[in-house]
Amino acid sequence: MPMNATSSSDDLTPDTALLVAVGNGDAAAARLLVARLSPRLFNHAARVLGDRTEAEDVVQETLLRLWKIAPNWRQGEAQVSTWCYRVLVNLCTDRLRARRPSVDIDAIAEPQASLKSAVEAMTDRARSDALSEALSVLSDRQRQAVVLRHIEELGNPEIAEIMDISVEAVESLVARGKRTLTAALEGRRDELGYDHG
Amino acid sequence: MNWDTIMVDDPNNEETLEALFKASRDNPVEPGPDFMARLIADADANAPKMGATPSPKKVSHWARPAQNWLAASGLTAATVLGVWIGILLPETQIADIWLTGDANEIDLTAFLPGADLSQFTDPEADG
Repeated sequence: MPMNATSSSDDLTPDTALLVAVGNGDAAAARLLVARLSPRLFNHAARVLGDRTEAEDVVQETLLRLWKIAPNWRQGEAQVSTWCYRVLVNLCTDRLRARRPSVDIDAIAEPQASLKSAVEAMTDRARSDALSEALSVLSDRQRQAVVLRHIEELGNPEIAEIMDISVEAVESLVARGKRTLTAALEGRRDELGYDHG
Repeated sequence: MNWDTIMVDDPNNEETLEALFKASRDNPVEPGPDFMARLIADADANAPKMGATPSPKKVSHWARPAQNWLAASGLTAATVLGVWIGILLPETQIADIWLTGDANEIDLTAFLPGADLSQFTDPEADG
């Protein structure tokens, strides 16, 4: 995913070096980190929470915490983006818990036919919207894992670090999440205007 | 419903899901300009605070005369010492010190009249 960094030379500076500069009072470094990190963090939060306002709140809180920790940041401890994702995931989880009860997975209709032809007929935007809606039926942790793995394209070890679970647990969450997603999309075929082909 | 046995490893469904994921990657949910401006304002407000060095302690009003006096007395002492050296050392000797660094020949008693400086002599050098 493209970053919105302000210049190509700034792109070469590692996030960690920028954060150390922020800790020394460099506001320009802080702005650059905002441009680099916030689009990815916002995309994740919006996909997981399904609400732009709530996504804005958790991203803003994540960055405020980052500025707070900047003076004490220890190089080599973690990647800045991983640290941010970890904070963001926890904030999203708190928000999702507060919304209970969530969708009853067992209420989703059984899949009856292949999705392939239906999805092929959709535009990219419609596919993206359909996926966002389908994500809402996943459990909180499945949703976070699936978005990190297949939309943010992070590796399983990094997701494990972000979610504070084992790599095997990540694999399991993602696999189960994908099964549930497929079933959810099948169940909503009429609502989403799928072709029954 | 047994979720572990539904559509597992169905290549069609795997392809379909991947098409949806790709569409989502290609159409990220982007933050709005107002929100970005808020984040930048946060960054501007917080970064300088973190880097601010502690300002020197302000001297309270009643202590200022003492502070001024200490500064003035230090300057006065340095000035007097400079004048004293100028009077006691011949010009050529000062030049020798600065140019050659050889201060062995200087009579230090000129600076401290009446003082016993024998304890500072180097016994090995004498004998």
